[in-house]
Amino acid sequence: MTKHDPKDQLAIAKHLRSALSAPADTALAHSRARVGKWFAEEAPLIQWGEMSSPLGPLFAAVNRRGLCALDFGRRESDFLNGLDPRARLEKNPKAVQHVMAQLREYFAGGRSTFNLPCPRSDLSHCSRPGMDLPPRRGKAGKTSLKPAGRSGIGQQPGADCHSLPPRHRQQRQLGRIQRRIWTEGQTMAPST
Amino acid sequence: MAPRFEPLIEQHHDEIFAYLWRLLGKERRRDGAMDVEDLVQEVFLRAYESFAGLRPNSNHRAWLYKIATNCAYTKLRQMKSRRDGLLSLETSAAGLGAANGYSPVRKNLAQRVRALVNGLPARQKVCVTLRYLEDLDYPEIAQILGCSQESVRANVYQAIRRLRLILEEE
Repeated sequence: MTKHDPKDQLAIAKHLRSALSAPADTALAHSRARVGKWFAEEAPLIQWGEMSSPLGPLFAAVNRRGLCALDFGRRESDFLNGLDPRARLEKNPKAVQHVMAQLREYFAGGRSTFNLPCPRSDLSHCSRPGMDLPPRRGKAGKTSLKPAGRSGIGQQPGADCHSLPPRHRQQRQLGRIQRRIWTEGQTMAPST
Repeated sequence: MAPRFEPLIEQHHDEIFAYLWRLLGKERRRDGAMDVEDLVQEVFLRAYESFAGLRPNSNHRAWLYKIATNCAYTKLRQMKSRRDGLLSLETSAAGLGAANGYSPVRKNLAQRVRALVNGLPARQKVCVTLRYLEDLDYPEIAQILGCSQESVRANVYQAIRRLRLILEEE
């Protein structure tokens, strides 16, 4: 009952197309610009950059609250795919230059601690019941990342995840540069 | 690989706009573009709000068409109730014209096809637009509308049967 002759279908499609005209290019362009403007205003902006390091290309991303992602040993596309999928991405080396500067100092041996704005939500990974400590007072939005030493560099992914330390120790461990990606609002997991 | 929202706008904006444009039958109205713009904006807004809950392996194109179709249904319902309100006025005017010996000029084929499509029930209109103007296949349309392929085929068939009657008259 619902089978149509292909020629008949072509003729019908042709009639429909001629009767129901396509929108004008100007209307399309106007609407595209409007949606683009809305997205630019609505979506959170994530700016990112990369640097070469002894570990290979190292990527960092910041949002309006601070550092939101840091990764190395992966392709650029993999790094970007790990960021908030609803965000607007912009490659902007200037926005991450303060992060890169501290990392360069670290790799040169002139720095052992990091002082970077880091949203607390980034630290919500690995938490499990009974391990949470009350939030620190007076230091919201700013976390001191203290590397545990050079021995952490290149450590096997997930090597320290057999037992989860309490949160105040996890915060310190974030400073250890390991082969993992951590992004805001997402579960911290060793990269594969 | 997790998809990002931003490329969806670039990839699908134009076809969603064209789909809604045709579905709403706005091409002959001066304010049509603005109405469709509003609706397209609404589609992407809804899509953005529910994007986080979408499975990574979903068919994003079909998903956007589904949102667009739901928005269009709402709009078509609003238009229908407005039209119903005006119908009694038009009927009175037509009766007045006939009484004065006025005979409407026979419309050309394109106009008649347009009028026919615009007068189709919403479901048939959506099915025939997706099939013949957006070139989607039956499984994809069924996915968009959340129904069986047989139901889509039946709706297309009903619409085409009416259309064929007009074409045969020519």
